[in-house]
Amino acid sequence: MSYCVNCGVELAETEKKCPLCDTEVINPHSPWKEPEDPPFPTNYEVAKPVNRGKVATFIAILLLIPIFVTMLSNLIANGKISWSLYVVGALTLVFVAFLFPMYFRKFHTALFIFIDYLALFGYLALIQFLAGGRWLITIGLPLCIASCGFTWLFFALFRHPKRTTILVRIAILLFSLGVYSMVIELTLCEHFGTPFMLQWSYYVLIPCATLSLALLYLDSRKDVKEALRKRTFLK
Amino acid sequence: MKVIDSSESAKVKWLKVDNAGKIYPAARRSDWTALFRVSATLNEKIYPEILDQAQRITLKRFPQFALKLKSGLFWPYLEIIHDSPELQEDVANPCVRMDLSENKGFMLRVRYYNKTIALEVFHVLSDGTGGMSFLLTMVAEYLRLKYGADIPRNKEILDCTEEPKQTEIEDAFVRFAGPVTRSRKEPDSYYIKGTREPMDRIHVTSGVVPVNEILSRAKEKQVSLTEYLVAVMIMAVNKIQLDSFKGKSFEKVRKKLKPVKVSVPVNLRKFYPTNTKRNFASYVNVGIDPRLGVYTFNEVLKAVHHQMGLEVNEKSLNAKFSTNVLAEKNNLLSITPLFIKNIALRIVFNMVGDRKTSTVISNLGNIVLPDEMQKYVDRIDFLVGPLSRNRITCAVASYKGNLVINFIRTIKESMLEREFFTFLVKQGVHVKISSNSGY
Repeated sequence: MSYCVNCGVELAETEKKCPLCDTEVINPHSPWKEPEDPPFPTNYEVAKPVNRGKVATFIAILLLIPIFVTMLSNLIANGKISWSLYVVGALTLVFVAFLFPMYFRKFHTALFIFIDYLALFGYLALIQFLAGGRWLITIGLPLCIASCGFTWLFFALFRHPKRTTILVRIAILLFSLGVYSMVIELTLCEHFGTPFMLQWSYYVLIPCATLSLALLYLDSRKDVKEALRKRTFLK
Repeated sequence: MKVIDSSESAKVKWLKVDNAGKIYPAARRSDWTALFRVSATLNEKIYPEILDQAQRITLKRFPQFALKLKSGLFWPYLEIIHDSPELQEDVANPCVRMDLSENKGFMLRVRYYNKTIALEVFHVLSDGTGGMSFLLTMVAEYLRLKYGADIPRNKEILDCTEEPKQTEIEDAFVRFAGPVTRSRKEPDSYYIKGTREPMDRIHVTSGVVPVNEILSRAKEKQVSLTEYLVAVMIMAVNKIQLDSFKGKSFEKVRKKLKPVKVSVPVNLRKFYPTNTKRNFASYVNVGIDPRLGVYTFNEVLKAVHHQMGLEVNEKSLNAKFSTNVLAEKNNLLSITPLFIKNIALRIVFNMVGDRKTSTVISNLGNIVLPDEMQKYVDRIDFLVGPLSRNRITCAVASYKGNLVINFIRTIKESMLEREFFTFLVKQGVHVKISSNSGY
């Protein structure tokens, strides 16, 4: 008959350590032996893990219906497959964005964001192929990369909220928003062959940068925070 | 109210899912089924061939347990299976999710191990009282076949030579529902977070307590045994909630605290003339609001005692289950196709479900067996499977002077059991612990 020194409960002979606190049972008078009749068997019923992949496959098969219908209509009306490829591309994008993650047991943020933008880039390539033009590499690619980075940053900042204070996180986000607008303008400059001159993105970048600096300053100064709180309290 | 002749026999081909059972088919997930388990430990090793025979005989007497879940156009329904489930060897993880496509579609499983006969039931079929009646009848049949024991039959241990009765298979909720309803609105409660185990890892911790010791403590405080246990549970959960703020002072965290409430199932058969073996239980949620201040044990006992007094009576309980019955009878809801209904019910369940309480204590009460049977049965256990959100549950039954308190948990941390049992120890109650993970 052993008692847990930590919990004060008597422990059944079958217990090697206290089930309540994991303290090992050390009783020189009756050392623990492999129990002959443990209260429960030792073999487990294995429950198969949840397979959401099946559901995703099922929905994917359903998505094939509109694809076939539009392709068929396209073929009947025009004698060839042309505009229906837009539908195919769009539905592929839906698959990648919403159904693809269901094949995974964990939500891999970075991987999924990357694959989403990869698919988006593919769709843009398809559009250029069908509609013509030369904008994919000069506008499509840089914007996809910048947007991918910005989305990832957004998730990274707000998924683990305890790492930094909310003020710092907003400051980083605001600043990167300014940079993002700058990237857009520079990309457009490059594409249209205009000189590398910032014209409108200043209006985004400067207030964003100023605001984020102000927020960082505010975050670092306890007394300023206190003073602000003192002067602006409502109730 | 419809009057049912208690001797009227019943032929079951199919049944509607009873009022309380309606939520479970919609709410179940691929990794979770609402299950409970009752088991009896005999003084000798179990012979599976005889148990299998006993199971077949018992299922004939309890057609309401030999059912398969089917989908109708508007509601799910239960269809009789003219067969018996495979007898299974018991496993280390009781109440692990039930796959309804296995086991011939049966929503129960009979398991044996060493000296123990266990019955696990999906809540669609029945509640703890109904399940216990099935188990005891099966054990009585087993003892009759094995030892020729002549066990007197009663309302719990049914006579298997008789035909099933109408009153045993009725949906008593519908029969006894009144016209008055009440709001189900309640604030959400604190629940114990923890590290989730894989879905097939289930921890069982049993504490055996002498009934007279704990009963005398309860009497001292002028409360019932259930009330006493509920109060101990509230103290334990609340301590875990306060500890989760890691040493911050009460005043600092007080506004962040959430109510601590325990759901206590109530057997409605005590209030109505029915011997239904299907679901017929309601519940009361009792607890404290820790934001109001630091509660002493005596204050919690008082709160629990009075809340139970206010809630556990025929009138209150009737209004409570009538709300569900009337909701089911709603014309608009009735004509909604089942698949839409399932989505709606699932959303409601996820929003309400077990969010209103921190955990559950289900007390099946004191089980008294006829002398002819008692000499063979050493111990009776009752377990409630994990709930949808609250991953720790507590189920209690007393037999032969021992109160067996069983905790089921699917998170790694055993803090609730520890707080609960050490609290009892501090009250001077002797507790003996065993588990399914100590070896």
